[in-house]
Amino acid sequence: MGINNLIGPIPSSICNLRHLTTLILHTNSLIGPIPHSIGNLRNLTTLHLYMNKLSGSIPQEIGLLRSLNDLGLSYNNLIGPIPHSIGNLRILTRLYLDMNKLSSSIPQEIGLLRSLNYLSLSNNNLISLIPSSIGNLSNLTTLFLNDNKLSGSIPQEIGLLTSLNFLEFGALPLEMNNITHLKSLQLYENNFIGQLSNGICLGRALENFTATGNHFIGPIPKSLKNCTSLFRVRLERNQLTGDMAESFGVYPNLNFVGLSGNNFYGELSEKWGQCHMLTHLNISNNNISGAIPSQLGKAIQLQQLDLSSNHLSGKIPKELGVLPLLFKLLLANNNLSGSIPLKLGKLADLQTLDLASNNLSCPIPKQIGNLWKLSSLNLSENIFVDSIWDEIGKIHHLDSLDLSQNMLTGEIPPLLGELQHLETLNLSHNGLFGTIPHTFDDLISLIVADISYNQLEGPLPNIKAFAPFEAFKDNKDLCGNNFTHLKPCSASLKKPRKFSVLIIILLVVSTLFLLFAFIIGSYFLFQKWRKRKTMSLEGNDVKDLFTIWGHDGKLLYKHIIQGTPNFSSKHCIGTGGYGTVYKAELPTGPVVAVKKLHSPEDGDIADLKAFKSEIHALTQIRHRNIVKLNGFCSSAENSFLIYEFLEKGSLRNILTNNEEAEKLDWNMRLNTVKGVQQCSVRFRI
Amino acid sequence: MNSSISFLCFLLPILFSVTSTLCTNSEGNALHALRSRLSDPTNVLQSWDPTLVNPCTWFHVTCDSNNHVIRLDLGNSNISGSLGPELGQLQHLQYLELYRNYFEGKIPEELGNLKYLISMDLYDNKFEGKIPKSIAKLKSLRFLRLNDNKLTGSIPRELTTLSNLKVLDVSNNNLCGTIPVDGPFASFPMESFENNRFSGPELQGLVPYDFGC
Repeated sequence: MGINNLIGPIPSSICNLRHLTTLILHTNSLIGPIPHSIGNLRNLTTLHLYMNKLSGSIPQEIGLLRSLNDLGLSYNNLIGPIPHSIGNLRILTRLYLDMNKLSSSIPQEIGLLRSLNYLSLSNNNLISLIPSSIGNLSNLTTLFLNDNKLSGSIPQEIGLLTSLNFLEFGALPLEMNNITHLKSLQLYENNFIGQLSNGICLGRALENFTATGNHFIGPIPKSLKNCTSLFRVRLERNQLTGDMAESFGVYPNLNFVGLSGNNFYGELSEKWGQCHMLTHLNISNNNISGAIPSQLGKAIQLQQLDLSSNHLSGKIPKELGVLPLLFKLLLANNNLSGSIPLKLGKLADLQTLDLASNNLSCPIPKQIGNLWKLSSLNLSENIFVDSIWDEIGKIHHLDSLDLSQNMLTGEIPPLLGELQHLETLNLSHNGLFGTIPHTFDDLISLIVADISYNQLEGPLPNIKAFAPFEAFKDNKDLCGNNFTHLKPCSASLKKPRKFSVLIIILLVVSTLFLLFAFIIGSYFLFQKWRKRKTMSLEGNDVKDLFTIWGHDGKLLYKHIIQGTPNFSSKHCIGTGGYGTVYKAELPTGPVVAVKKLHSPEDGDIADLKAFKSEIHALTQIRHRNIVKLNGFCSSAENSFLIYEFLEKGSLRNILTNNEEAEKLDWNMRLNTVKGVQQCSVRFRI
Repeated sequence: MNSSISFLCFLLPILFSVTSTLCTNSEGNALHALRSRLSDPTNVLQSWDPTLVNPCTWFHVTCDSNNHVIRLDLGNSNISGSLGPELGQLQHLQYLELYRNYFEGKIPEELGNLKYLISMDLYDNKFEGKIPKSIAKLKSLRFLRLNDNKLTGSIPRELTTLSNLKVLDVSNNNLCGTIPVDGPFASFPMESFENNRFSGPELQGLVPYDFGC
């Protein structure tokens, strides 16, 4: 009478039916305890009471049902221990006690159930050790012990269960060697300790291995490293350790790997790129270091890549831009440097991009605007420079934008107002100036905004998200109507209407006047220009300073702007304390390194004198350990220094990159150190 | 209906020695049932393995720390098919993002059971039928975007009780009747309603009269 709406307790009189062989009362609403008199049903072979609301403990008398073959009591509210008498049910083949509130430990007598094929005790409150007698269940093919409070380690005897092909419980025993055809091993969310056994996957049959959320320590066993049958591996949140480069091999069928929250160190092996079926790789929250291997770009099925919270360094490889299915890229909290490769703009499926908390520099590439499916963009806590490009406004599905804590300058582009789905916006802690575009009134979905710690001025948008003080504090001169903590925007801003007529008249008059003055002035200037071919450093108009040693200043300035070109992020090498370095190929041939100094506030000319004398000193120096300064340019818009270009990059990079460091043999290193030493003696660095 | 699924749950492992934990998670079941109605030519749902103990490692599904589904991000995925009542079982869902696909059929009224829902983005699909009144039960709802579909009928007046509603867009549908003006509707711009067959804003001061359409 299964699957009915029977309610009320099981009457003890049912137990008078002594010839009953099958009692099926599952999936009803039966309440109360299992009566003690159940023991009278000596002929019972099948007892299904699962999926009810039975309470109380399993009566000892259950052990009297010696003909019982199939016992199902799952999905009830049974409490108390599993009775020791269970061991009497010698012909029991199926025992399901899962999804109850059984407590105490698993009785040793369980080992007497030699006919048992299926044993499920999962989702209870069972404690203490798994009895070693479990090793006697030689006919067991399926064992579920997960979601209990079992502790200690698994008894070695589990290795005797040679028929076992599905094992789902807690910790791993040492003697796994004999379970050679184990396909699936599920050990999650228990308190198990110890190392992963060296016998796992000896038979190369293991496909699914999950040990998430335990206290496993030690390295990945060799047998697991060579386990080529692996399809899905989850070892998150343990204390596993080992050198990442050595711990794993190549797995042709591997689909999903979760290793986050462990103590792996060393470098990320390029072998992951050979896992052509890999869709998910998460090694976040470990101690891995070195560069992200470019070979990862060969794992073409990759959809989710999470390497955040490690010590990765070097550049983001542009090869990642070739991954056609990548929709989630998380590299936050590392030491990555250099620019965002332009190729990342080709990731048409990308929905989440998080590169926060790194040392990424150079301007944010415009190509980011091509990521039309992007919904979350976080580039905060880096050293991005230059302006926020208009192109970011093309990403119409963006709901979260965080560019805070960078060195962004320039005005906020009006096109950002087109982000109608934007819910959170953080531009705080930058050097943004000018007024907030009127288009920001269109940000109808905005719930949380932060533009604090910038140099912004003018009216705040009429949106609730900008109302709190924390959202706009520490700017230059913001104003707002209907906002507390903020002065109302002055009436003079309304005057432009009447003002503009006057302005037009004044403009016309002054234009005519200027035109006249220009004609006269240019005549005199023309005379002067014919006398001078080159402009010297002294006595020139401070705002118009073009001096390159031995070259035609204005032309070289133009060449440099063309060679970089116009300081795009493609040619950006890196950003330091004083400026950003670009590689410039001049049309006349030579390749130079151009350091564009950070724009001083308000075009401060006062420092120019100090700048000039320093330049003089530097151009006189010819020392073999100092990069030769070829010249400098200083104009109202840009100031830059021009050095000879060194192919190898910075000394620091060379020494920290193992490959490059190997090329520096001992003599070369000695000479380099000597050189730095000499340098410091002379100039007291 | 729930019990018969559970019955199957229990029977299968016994009869067929299938050791899958196919049914220990009702949210996974609900999503699996959804998937069976859908056509997915670009294999966006390929990772949706029903034998896993919960759907929290499925791609485009986000869970909270208690393994409850809080986000479903299937926008721009080339998916077609219809939604069923099973979506209402995702009791902790906060973001339902199904925009820019080829979904058809009705918007199930069971979506009104998603009491923590913050965002319902069904825009740019082929949904038809009426806007279910049950959406008015979603007291946390902030974003309701149903634009660019084939919805008919009127806007249920009950939606004026959604005090947290910040953005509503029903433009480019086949809706008729009057546009409510109470509660949050007072701040929605006219663009949110354009390209429909509305007879204009609701007349204030008179007994509310459903013109029917």
